[in-house]
Amino acid sequence: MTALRWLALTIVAYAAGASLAVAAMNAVARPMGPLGAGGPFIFLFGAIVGVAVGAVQYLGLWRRVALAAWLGASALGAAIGYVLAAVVGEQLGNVISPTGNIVVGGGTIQDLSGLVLGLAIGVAQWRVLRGPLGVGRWWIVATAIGVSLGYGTAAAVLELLEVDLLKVNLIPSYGAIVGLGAGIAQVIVLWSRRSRVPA
Amino acid sequence: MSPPRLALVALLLLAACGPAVQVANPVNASGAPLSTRSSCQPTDQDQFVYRPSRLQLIAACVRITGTVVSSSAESDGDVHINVRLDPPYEALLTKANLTEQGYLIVEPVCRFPPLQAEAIRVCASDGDPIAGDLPAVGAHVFMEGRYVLDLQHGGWSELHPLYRWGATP
Repeated sequence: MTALRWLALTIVAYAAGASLAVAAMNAVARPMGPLGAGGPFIFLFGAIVGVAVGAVQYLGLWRRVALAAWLGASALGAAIGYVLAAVVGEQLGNVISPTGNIVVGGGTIQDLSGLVLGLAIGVAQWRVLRGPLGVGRWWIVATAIGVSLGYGTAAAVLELLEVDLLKVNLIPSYGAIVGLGAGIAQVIVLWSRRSRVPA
Repeated sequence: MSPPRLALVALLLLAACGPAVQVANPVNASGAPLSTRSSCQPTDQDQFVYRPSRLQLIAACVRITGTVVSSSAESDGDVHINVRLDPPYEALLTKANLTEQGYLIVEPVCRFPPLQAEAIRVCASDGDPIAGDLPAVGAHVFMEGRYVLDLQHGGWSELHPLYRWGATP
């Protein structure tokens, strides 16, 4: 296992998670949308993202952690994270002036929402990783910051830059950029001296 | 706090959030009286516009005709359609529309679950977004939607949300 491989897996993981969740929820879960002010819909959306993220990242953790525990933790973390991120994002959207600088205002909303999402995923995954790999709480901090920066960067790149390749593949591009942020941050923790890097 | 309890708290917080309401003012962006068709009727899509304060409502429903120039999905779940207006409707444009090459922006909302956080809940609640395909690039169409100024983008004018559309000769 190399740092580059973990980074690549994490980029693919988040791209796949976003694509799968959007496609699945759009295809079959629309009728449940109005239930509970959208809460169950968002929870399920996040769970699908988490399962995909966990499944792809598991390729880098092969047999070092229990598959079911890793998938479950990633799914629960992302599900809770998306619900909390939706609350944070909506509340910030109500208090930040729409006439202000879109980069600052929009960036704040995306970064803080991403921070909450990353925090939830980070906590859930850390509980599985801490034993087998000796990963410290820095995993939580790294995932939170990585997803936060990834979320802000994804929104900025796709809103402000006219890159056709990214625009045409909007959903996987968004996920891949978030995964890039999370992957870089996690590599730093996994390859620190105190962690036992997967072979 | 255990994860299931955390999830429950998060769901309750989510349920407490609600969209704001704006009031119509039937003049165009220049302040002149707006010509609207009496047959143009809003749908329920108004309530699924996220962060409604970013849009200044000008008229509840306006019908235009024009040619679709481009169309692209946005990470907030909306689709961004640029329309070259037919001459009778060009007065609907503002100076800020020049940043979009002088096209009117038309946005059907919640076409797919958004990734942008502030739009997630509002769109999740939309169980019935505008149905069917959207017009292809090059199509000459009529479109009906809420006429607004987008304050986040310098006040360019939009039909947002799009209520309905159809092909015209």
